[in-house]
Amino acid sequence: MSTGLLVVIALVTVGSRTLALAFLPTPSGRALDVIERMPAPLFASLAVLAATDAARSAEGAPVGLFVACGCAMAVSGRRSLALVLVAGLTGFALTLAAQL
Amino acid sequence: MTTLNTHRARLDGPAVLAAVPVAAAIGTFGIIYGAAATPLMGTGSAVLSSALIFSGATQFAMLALLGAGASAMAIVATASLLAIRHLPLGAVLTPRLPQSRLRRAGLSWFLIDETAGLALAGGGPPATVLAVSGWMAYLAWVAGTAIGALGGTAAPVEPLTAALFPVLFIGLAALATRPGGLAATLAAGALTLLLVVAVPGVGVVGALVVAVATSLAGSMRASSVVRS
Repeated sequence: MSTGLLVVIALVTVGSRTLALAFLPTPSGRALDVIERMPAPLFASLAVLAATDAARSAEGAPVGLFVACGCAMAVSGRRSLALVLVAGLTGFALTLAAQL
Repeated sequence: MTTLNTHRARLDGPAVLAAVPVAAAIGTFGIIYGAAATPLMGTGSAVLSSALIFSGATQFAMLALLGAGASAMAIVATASLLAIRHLPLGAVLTPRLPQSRLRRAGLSWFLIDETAGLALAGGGPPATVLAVSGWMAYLAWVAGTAIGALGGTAAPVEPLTAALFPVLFIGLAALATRPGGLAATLAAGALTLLLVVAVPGVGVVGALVVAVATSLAGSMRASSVVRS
């Protein structure tokens, strides 16, 4: 793989980040309202995407992932990211241990 | 200096603590990437790619295409498609960043899904959280790649990485859910699941479409309630 191709891909990726954060106009009106509502649905969609990707690629992971997501969702009402991480990963690790 | 110190003091411990497992997972993925990339592009290019691109999704896609013998155009086109994800992340974050355009351009280096999520989660000033978690993630990604490229392995903790990102995004979705917005959050998750099952290759673009559509529907419903 050539260094030139690497640089082009880097320019595309870094350029899109810079465009997004520094050069796009600050939204207003309906666009702002939609954008203000977007973080939670966006992260929920990414959670599903990450879970399905992981379930396809990790051997023996689907049951563990299901438990991990369930544990994480069970404590998500506490609105603590650390607690959600601990609960989800503990559920996942215990499920994997039980499967061995 | 006073302002800087104030910002440091306001950076909540939980925000930094939340960034630690994220950086650890990113470092682990970096090891996996480095080990997989080296046979295809060599040690130097593998590490250079992580230092220059800093995007796991783009780099793993690049590897898959290289392994399949795809053309340079196909690789650049795929990278462009994946880069679209930065636009909604930037749109959501920009109103929360009062910094100058130049400062925001500097911060944009750290704009990845995970750091954007942590910045939106409210553990401190978004710019500071983005910079701190971004530095941690970047260093972990490059160091991980170097370790993997030089023959290192993350076997003992690799299984946990499968669950970390789904769990992290669930936590971020919970934190970002507005009062009365739980139905929209759950609907976005359910719709994405249906979409992924129906169209397996839909990927991040599909997730973005669902998020925008759900948010637009919520906005339209809210304005119709106000009108009536």
